[in-house]
Amino acid sequence: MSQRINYQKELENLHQSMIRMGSDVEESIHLAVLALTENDVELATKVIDRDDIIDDQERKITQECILLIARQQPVASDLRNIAANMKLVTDLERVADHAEDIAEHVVFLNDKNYSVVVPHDVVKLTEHTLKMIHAVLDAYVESNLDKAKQIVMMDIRVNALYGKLKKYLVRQMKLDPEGAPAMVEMLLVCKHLERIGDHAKNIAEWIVYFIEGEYITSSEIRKEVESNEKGRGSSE
Amino acid sequence: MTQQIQVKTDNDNAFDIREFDLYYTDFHALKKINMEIPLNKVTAFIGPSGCGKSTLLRCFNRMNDLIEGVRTEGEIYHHDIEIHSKEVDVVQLRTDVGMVFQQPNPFPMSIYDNVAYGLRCQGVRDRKILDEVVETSLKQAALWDEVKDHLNRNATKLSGGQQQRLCIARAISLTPEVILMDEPTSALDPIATNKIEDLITELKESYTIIIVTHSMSQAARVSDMTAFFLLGDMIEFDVTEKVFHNPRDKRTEDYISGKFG
Repeated sequence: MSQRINYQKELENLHQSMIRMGSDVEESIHLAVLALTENDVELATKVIDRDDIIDDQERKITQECILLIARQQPVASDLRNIAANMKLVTDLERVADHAEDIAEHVVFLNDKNYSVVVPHDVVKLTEHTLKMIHAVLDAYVESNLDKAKQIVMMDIRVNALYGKLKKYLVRQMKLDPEGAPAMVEMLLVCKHLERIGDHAKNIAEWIVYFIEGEYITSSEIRKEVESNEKGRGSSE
Repeated sequence: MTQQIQVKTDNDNAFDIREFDLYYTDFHALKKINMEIPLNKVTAFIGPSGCGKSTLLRCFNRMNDLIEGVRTEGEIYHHDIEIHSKEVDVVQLRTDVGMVFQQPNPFPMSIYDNVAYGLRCQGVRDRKILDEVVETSLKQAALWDEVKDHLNRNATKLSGGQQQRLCIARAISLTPEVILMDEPTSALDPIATNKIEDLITELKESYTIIIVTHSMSQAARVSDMTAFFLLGDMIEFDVTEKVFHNPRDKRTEDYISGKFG
């Protein structure tokens, strides 16, 4: 027979608050990327304005976690759940900060009348980053261990794309010194996208901790996933 | 009574429990319990009422012998001696394995006489020895400073928390190896509870402590090892951090999270 009904409700409310915040953060990145590719200043301003709402969500969720610990003294998976939420809410808020930063670069580029053609690889980088955030939120909602572990592998791709873009943009700066200020802005946008990938990976690590009860680093997760994939490959 | 089997046990354990069953007439109260209680650690027994945790606690100094209809199978070794074997002197066993109960139960006599009672029963009459043991025991029980100036005061005049610490001092006076505590703070207020919990942590340096508690937070705070019992089965026994952070069994998780019980 289930007991502590209010406690269960409070845990469920926390979960729902996280899902709402996750969805808002995902939309912020989506809008920031759209503002970049469409060169839409109005949309970029909207992203900047949304950040206060997300900051507020972070504060409320942190407070909910602290009160749950103080009043309900959670143990075992409930404790891990709350501890993981307290950690990953910070990562989510940082993701929103990077979305805001990207939007600010769009505004800056417009203010300076810099004309920039968004390289195709930047579009690819945005797609991958968005996929990562979407997948990690899915893993959170479903408490899905395999999906969470796959995020670590997705981050490898994002890092590789960022490295490639960095080289490309530096080369472009050398070829076209006058266009360098705009390229610097583009490079910073890429760095923000790469950092979003890192935060998604952190979130994935906390999901793994919540489910498995042990903190496993992303490099350990990567080794495990690679060894499983190798095992599957050899048995096929 | 159990069949005597001589098996050397690990010296790091206060008790080795092997395939132990206990019946209250037809009721099977403990089912095939296997566990090792480590020396100089605090081991907490948790579980809902009727799970068998107090029954097992009372086995360690054979308090269940006093209950009609109790029958046991399997073994409990205290070092290399099976405690139910004929060679075991139950009085000596209860000296080695002291007990503190839920309700403080000081004898209606002075504080001094309460602590000296056990030694006097053993025939010790030397006042110097008695004085020394009373002082040492009260100091170890963190009660000396509060009572040293009125040792002749009737123990029943002490507060509940002080009475419980006096009972611990009385148990300590016989220099036991193990102290069994059956919900020792359930009748105490939070301040007295804190003092007993601090005392438990200090005492484990010198004694092995086994505590039955209904307070999950108390088990988490004071114990090194935790065993969870349910309907006579020992479901899980592990280091306390593991049990309260990442228990192996779903039933342990549900119980400590307050989802049943």
